[in-house]
Amino acid sequence: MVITKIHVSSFGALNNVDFDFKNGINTIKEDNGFGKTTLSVFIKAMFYGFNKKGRTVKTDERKQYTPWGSNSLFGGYIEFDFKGKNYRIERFFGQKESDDTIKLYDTATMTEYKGQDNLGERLFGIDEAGFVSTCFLSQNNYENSYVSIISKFEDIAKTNNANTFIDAKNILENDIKDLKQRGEKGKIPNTQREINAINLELEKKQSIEQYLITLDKKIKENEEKIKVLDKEIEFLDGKSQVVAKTDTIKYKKEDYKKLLDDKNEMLSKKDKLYNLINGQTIYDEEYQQYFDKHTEYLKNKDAIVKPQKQTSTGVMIPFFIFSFISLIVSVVGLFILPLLFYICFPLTFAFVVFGLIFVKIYNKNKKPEQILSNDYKNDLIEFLRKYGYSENELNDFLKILNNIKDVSKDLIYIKEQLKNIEIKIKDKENDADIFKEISFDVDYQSLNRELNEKRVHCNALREENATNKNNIVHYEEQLSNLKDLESKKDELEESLKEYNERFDILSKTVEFLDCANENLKVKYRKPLEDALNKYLSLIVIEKKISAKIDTDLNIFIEENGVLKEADYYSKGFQDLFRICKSFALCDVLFTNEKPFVVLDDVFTNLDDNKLKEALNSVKELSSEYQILYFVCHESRRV
Amino acid sequence: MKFIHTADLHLDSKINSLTQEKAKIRREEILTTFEKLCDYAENNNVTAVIISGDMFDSAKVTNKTFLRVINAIKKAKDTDFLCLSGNHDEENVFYNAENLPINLKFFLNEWTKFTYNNVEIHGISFSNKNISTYADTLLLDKDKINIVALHGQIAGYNSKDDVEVISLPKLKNKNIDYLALGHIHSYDLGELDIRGKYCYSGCLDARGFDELDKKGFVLLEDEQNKLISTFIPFSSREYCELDFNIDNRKNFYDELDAFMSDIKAKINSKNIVKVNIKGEITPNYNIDFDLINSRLNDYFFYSKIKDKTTLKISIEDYKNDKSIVGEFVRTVLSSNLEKEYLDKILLCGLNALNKKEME
Repeated sequence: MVITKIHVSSFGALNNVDFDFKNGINTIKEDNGFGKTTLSVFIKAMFYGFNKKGRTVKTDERKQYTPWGSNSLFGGYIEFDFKGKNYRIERFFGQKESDDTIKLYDTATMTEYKGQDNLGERLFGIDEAGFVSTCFLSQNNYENSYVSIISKFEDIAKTNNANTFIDAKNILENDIKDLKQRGEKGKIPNTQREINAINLELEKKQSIEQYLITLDKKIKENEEKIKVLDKEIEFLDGKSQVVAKTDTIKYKKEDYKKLLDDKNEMLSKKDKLYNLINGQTIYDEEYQQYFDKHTEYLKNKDAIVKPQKQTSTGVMIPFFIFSFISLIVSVVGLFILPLLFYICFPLTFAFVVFGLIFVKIYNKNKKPEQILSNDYKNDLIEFLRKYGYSENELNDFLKILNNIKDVSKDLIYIKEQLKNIEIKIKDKENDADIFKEISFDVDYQSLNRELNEKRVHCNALREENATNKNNIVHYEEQLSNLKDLESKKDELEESLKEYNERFDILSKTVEFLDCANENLKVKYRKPLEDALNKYLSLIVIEKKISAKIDTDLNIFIEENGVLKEADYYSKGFQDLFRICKSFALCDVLFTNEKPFVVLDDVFTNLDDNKLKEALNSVKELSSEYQILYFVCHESRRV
Repeated sequence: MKFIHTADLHLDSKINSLTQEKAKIRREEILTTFEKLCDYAENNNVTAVIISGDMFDSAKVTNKTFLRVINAIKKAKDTDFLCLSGNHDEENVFYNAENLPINLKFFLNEWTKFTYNNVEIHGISFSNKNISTYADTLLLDKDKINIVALHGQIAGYNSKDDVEVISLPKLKNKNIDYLALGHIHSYDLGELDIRGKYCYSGCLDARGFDELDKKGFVLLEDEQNKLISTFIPFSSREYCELDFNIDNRKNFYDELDAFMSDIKAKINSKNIVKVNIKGEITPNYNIDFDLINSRLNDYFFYSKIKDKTTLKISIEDYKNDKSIVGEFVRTVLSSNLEKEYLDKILLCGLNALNKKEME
């Protein structure tokens, strides 16, 4: 690549300046303050833009090179030859990156190429830092970044893809991190943790199983106890019922006694009735027959003939006489003395009324005398004769009989009662044996207390069993969940196995990739080392130096068979080593299209001898590279 | 008369290779299959069901399972259930249980015989005491149809645990007509001697990808003084494993569509499927494993895939490639790693290197 023209519209201190360059060496000798370094930054910025690292004016290129007091866009253009064509980059910068504009033209046709992001990287196949470290040499950029240069070695055969190795490695390392990274993060430790947690859960399985067996056993034990208790309760319950029964029997016994008493009372009543019949002993049967007959007679009303009812006329006669006299007196008085009529006439009625009232009262107080019928009378006489009664005594007997008639109802009642009592007594006779057997001193209360205690115990056992059965259901559910968890564990273990395999493959792949990268580096190290030694022999004339370079681009100088790091040498030598390394890198990196090289007053540390040799070699180098050589002192002009 | 020979039900066991949720469903289904077997026995006038061991997976099962099993057996009241213990249920839940159904019977640690007309069913649950003598003490009536139930591994199978090994030669010429075996989870019928056959019924319902093919029971029918055995598939779902061979000359999506229509025609969607992705794949051929997974899971009860593809790569293609890609391929191929491992590293590295290029 050869820069043919530079136009700076406005950039830092530079304002509307033009530079024309040719192939070979191009020296710009200007005093300090002209803007030589600004020009070198302008060239870099045309290809790569501003770097984005700094924030202060010193480190922020955008701030540093914004023209003083300007708010408008600043920049310019560069024309350059590249692969046989001349191009023009036109770039203007604003306050921020989004304000920037970039245009690339084919200067022959002025055709614009669209989409010029990463133009520098695409042209040189290396990033800004790498480009600056290789092609831009100044007093300032000692802190070279060789990272992208090293990666460039790997991709040397692949144009436009400088970072394949780094990107591929990043992809793999991200995948590895996804699986496992520091701080026990990633899929592998996570899965392992999950498995451990499940294992912890599964440890419960055995104890749950054991517990379930215990519960089962406990339930069975309780069931046995319940069986025994049930039997005891049944026995006690029976006993209790018997005891309860004895109370009833007690009552029944009393009842029985009372019945017997009643019976005796009835019998004595009966005896009294017998006594009423003149103290005579009458055989029960006969007596019965008599009563039956007597009752029958009485019922049929044949036994007693009622006498005709006596009229009360006789009783009424005096009243009739007086009323008659009164009537006569009143009639006479009607004719003779009317006063007499007024007195006697009411008296007539008064006598009649008094008479009637008297008769009524008289009849009421007088009981009619009953007369026995002849049949009944004969019957009675015959009955009485059997027992030695005479006919004359019949009236006395009838008096007794009248009494008997009154008590006969009582006798019938007593008889009925006796009959009932007899039946009841007969019923109770069945219990009579029990009365004898049962002792009435059993403690019904303590028996019930014992029964109650056993019932409570039995219920408690039943409740415990119900709870245990519920627990069994609960723990079996847990056990069943644990079995499902075992399935999950299998699944996780399978995943973990896959992750570990993947991790192994990824790690191994990274190893192989690193190894391939090293192989590539080694492959380019030798040409680099050769190129370095070629430039060292060209630039450092005063002594023969043999240098080695490692794959990280560290230079070692071999002296008397010993390798010494370049840092052991003087500042001047170090500058020379650096220049030689840069050209060596350019040789190896840019095999097709050589870049231009900017040397910004790089020989200030050299003594006269070294300076002379260095300037001579720059001349020689300019046959291979376009060199833009900026210098402030005539003595260092090429 | 009809008999059923089944074994290795492993009721209440954990289920492999499924998610937690689906494992729960599956365990329930396996129990239901046993209940259906009881119904089948009842409806088909089966005289006895011989369970040749490992009815349960461990000594302890949930009360729910126990009650469902007992209930199902009780319901099939005209069928006897003859239970042998296996290596998983030597001390099974029945032993301490009370009020077991009268049609549930056990083969003890000595030869136990159940007679059904001319058919005699003998069985012995193995123990340390009887293992060396069981064959000598087996005496069978040659005029009867003799079924013998045992649980163990007949010599010839690879023994994977401490299960008892059954020596077939010792059981030859013992007048056995049918040796009803348990322990191996796949159906296997073979000749015992001139007279008899041995048979593993396999498990009733599968529990993992190590139990592929059809699962069910063996129906034994007594016809003209001979036993006819028929395998009856009875499982609620099947575990299936098959390959998806990808031809990297064809479009991946077309290949996937073709595979899906093929698999849908062959395999019922209720089944559990494992697909091995195979084929020689070039580094730039992109297989969308997530898409395969999602298509399969959308269709089947459960599915999983395993990448078994190999990398189609030639060292010649990279001989003159001076880039990191060429150097990487050369470096890997020059190592002494196994082909499968090497392929994985190559594929992984090339994918990473190509990603940048693809961008």
